[in-house]
Amino acid sequence: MSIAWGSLGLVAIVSFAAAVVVTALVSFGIVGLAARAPRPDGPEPALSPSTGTAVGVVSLVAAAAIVIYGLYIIVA
Amino acid sequence: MGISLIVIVVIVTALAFDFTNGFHDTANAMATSIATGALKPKIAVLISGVLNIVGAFLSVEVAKTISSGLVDETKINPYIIFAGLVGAILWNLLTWLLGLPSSSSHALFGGLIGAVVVAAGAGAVHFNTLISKIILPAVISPILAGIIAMVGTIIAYRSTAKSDNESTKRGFKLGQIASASMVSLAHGTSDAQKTMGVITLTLIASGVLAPNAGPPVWVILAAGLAIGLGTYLGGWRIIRTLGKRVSEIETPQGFAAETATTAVILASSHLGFALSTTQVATGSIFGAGAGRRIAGVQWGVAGQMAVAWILTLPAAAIVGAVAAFAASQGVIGTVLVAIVAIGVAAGIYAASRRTPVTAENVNDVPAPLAPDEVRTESGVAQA
Repeated sequence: MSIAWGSLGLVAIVSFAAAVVVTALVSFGIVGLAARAPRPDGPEPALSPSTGTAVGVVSLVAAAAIVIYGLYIIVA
Repeated sequence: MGISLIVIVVIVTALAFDFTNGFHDTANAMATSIATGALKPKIAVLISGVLNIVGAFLSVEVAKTISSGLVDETKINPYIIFAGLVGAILWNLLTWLLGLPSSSSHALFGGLIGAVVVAAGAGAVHFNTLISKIILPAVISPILAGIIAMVGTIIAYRSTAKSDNESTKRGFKLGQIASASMVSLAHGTSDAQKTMGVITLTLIASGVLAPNAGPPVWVILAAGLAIGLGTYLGGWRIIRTLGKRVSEIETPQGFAAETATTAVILASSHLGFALSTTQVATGSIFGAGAGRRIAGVQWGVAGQMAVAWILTLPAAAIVGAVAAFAASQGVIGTVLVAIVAIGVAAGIYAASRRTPVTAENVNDVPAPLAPDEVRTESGVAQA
C-alpha cells in the first residue's frame, strides 16, 4: 500500500495558505475601501480615505494576482 | 474498430450522469450566494453553468486517474461501465429528491466498482488507487476545507469589525460573486473530468483509444456541456439545504467558504485526487458557520449528511452490481436495466413534482435556530 502522503500534505498546505491569504487580502481590501465611505456619526476610521484607497487597491490586486497565478499553474 | 452501439449507449448514459452531476452540485458553488442574496437565483445558475464548461477545459489529471488506474482496463467492457453509470445516476436522483448533498463522485466510483466486482471479480479493482486517491482524500478534504473556511471567516470578521458596516457588506457581496464563480470553475474542472474519464475508459475498453490515452477534445466538450446544462437547470432542493438549513450564512462567511472550497478543489485536482466537490463545499459551509458562531450551526443536519456520505459509495455499488449482473445476461438484460433505470428515474421525478423547489421559492424557508434562540414576531432573538 503506497499512500501519497507527500501530495496530500502539499494539497493541505497549499490550499490552506492560498485560501487564508486571499481571504485576508480581500478583507483588508474591503476595510481599505470602506474608509472612503463618509461616516458623520460613526467612530473615526482607522485609515484616512486616501491611505484606505491605496491599501484597498494594493490588497485586492495582490489577491487577484494569487488567484490568476494559481490558475496559470493548473492550465500550463 | 468502429464505435459500436453499446459504446454509444454508454457515452449517452455517461453524459446523462454528468447532467445529474451538474444539477446535483449547483448548490456547491451557488447555495451561499443565493442564500445571502449576493446573486439572483437564475443569474447564479447561469454564471455557474457557463463557468462549468470553461472549467472542463482546464485540466485532465482527474480524468486520467479514472481512465488509467482505478480499475483494470483489460478486464472490463462497455456493459460493465453502463451498469456502473446506472448505479450512479439512480443514487444521485434519490439523494436529490431528499435534498441531500451527497457526493456525485462517490456515486460514480461506487457504481463502477460494484459493476466491475460482479462482472470481472474483485481483482479487477485497484484498491490501492481507490484508497490512496479517493477514500483518503474523501475523509480529509471536507475537514480541511472546514478548518480553512473557519479560519478565513474569523479573519474576515475580525479585520472588518471596525469598518463601516454597509461598505463591508457590499464589499463581501461583490467578493462572493467572484468566489462563487471560482467554485463553479473548479467544479467544472474537477467533476466534468470524471465523466471524461469514464467515456475515455469506455473508448479504451472497446479498443477505440490506446490504453493510457488522454480524453479527446470532443469528449471534453461534450462533458463540459452536459454538466453546464445540468448546473444551469439548478438542483434547487439541495441549494435550499446548503444555503438555509446548515446555518444562517452572511456574505463574509459565504466568501470565506467559497474561497476555501476553490483552493482545496483546484489544488487536489491538479495533483489527480478525485475528491468530492460536494463534500468539500459542505465542509466549508459548516466551517464558515462555526467561524462566526458555533452554536448557530445545525450539527444534526451534519449528522444526516454524514450518513448519506458513508452510504453513497456502497449503495451505488450495490445498484451497479445488480445492474452488471443483469446486463451480463446478454442484450435482453441490458435493455431491461435501461428500462428499469428510466422507469425509476421518471418515478423520482414525478415524486419531486409533489413538493417542487424552484428558483422562486428556494429561499422561502425560515432561518435555522440555534439552541439558545427563539423565533419572535419580528424575527430571531437570543433566549
